[in-house]
Amino acid sequence: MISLHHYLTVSALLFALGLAGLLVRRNMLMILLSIELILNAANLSFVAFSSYWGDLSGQAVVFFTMLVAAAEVTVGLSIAVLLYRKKDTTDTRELETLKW
Amino acid sequence: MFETVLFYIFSAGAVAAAIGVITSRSSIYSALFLVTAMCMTAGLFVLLKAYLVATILVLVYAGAILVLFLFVVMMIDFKKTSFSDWGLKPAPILAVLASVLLFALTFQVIRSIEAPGFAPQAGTTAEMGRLLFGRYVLPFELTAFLLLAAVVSVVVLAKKDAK
Repeated sequence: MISLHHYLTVSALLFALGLAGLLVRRNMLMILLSIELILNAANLSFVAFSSYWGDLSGQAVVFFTMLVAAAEVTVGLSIAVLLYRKKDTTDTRELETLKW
Repeated sequence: MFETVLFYIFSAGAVAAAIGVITSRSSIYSALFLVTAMCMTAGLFVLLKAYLVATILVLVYAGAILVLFLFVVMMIDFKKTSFSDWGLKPAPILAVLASVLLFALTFQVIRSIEAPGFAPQAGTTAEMGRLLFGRYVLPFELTAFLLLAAVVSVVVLAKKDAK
């Protein structure tokens, strides 16, 4: 029988993979994709807890997380397009204007 | 028994697709792998009886947001393949070590949780609607403002003569 631990382990695995992508990749689009992966892992653990405790509030939280992620990704993508227009690249190593 | 098999199929698919997202060299393949990972996660949501959330995940996330992603990827670096940094430099190795450590720690925490029994309340549209327009009506209305703010900021940012 599949228990809560199984779902939480999958969620932790997805979260760790997303974190590795976030830290390793240097392309801004890839960083945004990794953030999506991390949010998705968090959603999975919310839904798992919600199902096992028989309380739908966890799924409402997932609903709000998705809305916030949608807003975040649209703004992030438009910033990426703007960067590409100004600097002709989306590589975060090139963006060192704020570096002291 | 059938659900156990489905759980292992969906979770193996999600993890494999996540590995594909972070390792593939082309951004387009990464975005498509992310669509796969989202669909597999939606399968897990259905196994957990969260039907509305699973539907929204496929329709809004895999359907709309990632299509937007693909548009931007094709606009920005369709020709230039973005090479990943998986070299023998210290920073990527440390990053992978950090995430492995994070997983190990989280796994220890998960093992110590006393799990309750599987007692799902089916997350159908009717039940979720009652919850969202009853107990969570204020946050629900606030998300409308958040989306409006996002739309306005994207329009301002994407204007050709942004000052």
